[in-house]
Amino acid sequence: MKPHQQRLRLVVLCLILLLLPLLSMYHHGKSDRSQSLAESFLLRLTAPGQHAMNQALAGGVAAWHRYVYLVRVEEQNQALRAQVDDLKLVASRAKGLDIETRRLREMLDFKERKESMSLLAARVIARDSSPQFSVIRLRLDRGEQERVRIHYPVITPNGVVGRVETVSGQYCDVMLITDVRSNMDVEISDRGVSGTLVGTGDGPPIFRFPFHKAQFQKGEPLLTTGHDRVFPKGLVVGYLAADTPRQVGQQLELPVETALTFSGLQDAFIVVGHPDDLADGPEDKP
Amino acid sequence: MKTALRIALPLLVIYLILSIESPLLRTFHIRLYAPDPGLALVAVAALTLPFLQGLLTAALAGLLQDGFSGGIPVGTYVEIYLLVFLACSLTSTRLEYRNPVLMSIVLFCASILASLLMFSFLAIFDRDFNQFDLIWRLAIPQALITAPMGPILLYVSSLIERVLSREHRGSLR
Repeated sequence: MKPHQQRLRLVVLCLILLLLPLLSMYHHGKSDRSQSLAESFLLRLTAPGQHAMNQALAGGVAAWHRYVYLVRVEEQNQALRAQVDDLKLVASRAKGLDIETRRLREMLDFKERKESMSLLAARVIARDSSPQFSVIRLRLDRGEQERVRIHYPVITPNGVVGRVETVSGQYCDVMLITDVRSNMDVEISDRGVSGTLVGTGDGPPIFRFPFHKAQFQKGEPLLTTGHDRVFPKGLVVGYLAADTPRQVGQQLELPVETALTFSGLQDAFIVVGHPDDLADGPEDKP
Repeated sequence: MKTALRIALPLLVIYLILSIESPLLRTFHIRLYAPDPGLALVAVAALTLPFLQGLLTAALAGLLQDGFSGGIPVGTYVEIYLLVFLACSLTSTRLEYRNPVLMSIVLFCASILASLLMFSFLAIFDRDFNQFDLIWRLAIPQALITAPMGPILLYVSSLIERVLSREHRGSLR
């Protein structure tokens, strides 16, 4: 084919290519018309690609949002954990306060009930333990300034603790009823059996009493008699830990479970005067 | 075969770009500032392809753009791309705009020309279109966005050309 013929063909092709879109525009620019074949074809051509990309992008965006969301969740989680720790601390303090409030209320009730006694509230500030981890001595935050003297009884609403052993400045040490040096007059009031409660050190104290034919029951309460002129009458000391007494010479012995657990003791009363139960008061005890 | 691939592969690239462009721009709420990869392809085709191949590429790219655009009379982009192709072909005979800067400048001008043509065709043929101020308002931003696509498309085109040449050499061996 000659060059000028080629050029002519090219020009004709150009003109056709330029004319066709003009006709298409003229046709498609009309207001009221139905969808043309060209439009349907183009829609079919482009829609799948757009759909696929749309899906891919939506998936990507969703994954991104999910990731960002998770980052926020992680932050939220850490903040909530910190909050939970704080709240646990608050709850623990509240629980401690509740227990303390109950204990103090109990002590207050006890003090009101025992109006006849002059009770001095004291806080346990230290406790000595034996190698077997049983408490052998308590230290209270009351001393000479509060008129505390040696042999003053130390009690709680739940039972007898012991007696003041030494007083020094603002503090005093208490000899527990479990101490080997401790002995006090006690009785099983329902049976009319009275005797002495003797400390054994690390083991449970022993209730030692004269020969008696009575049948004992485990768990029976032992009360102070007031005869020793130290402890006021009628305070719970402990409970029988066995029902069959052991004979030692002319006397019988029964192990006693103390009414208190000394290791958990935090507050106690020092009896500084009990005129109704003790005519002369504990100061008179030599 | 090689000629067909030389036309088809850039068109496939344009198809993919246009497919992702629409949802992507919509997601980021910049739908109005869409670059025109088809126009970039036309400018590159005018520079790199023989006249007839370039003309066909321009027409097909216009058809694709018509399909993706919607809302305007079919044939508008075909006509615009063909006229831009003729203008670019005329320019390429006097100015070798393979340099990225020159390519961007040519594409910027081509985009302004395309907006002008769009305005004219819509004014003449589309009886429902009335947002002419939008075309003027977006003409320069769109030209600025489209201009950098020229060097990119030129690079893609050279890559395709390199691959096709390698295949050709391979088949000769």
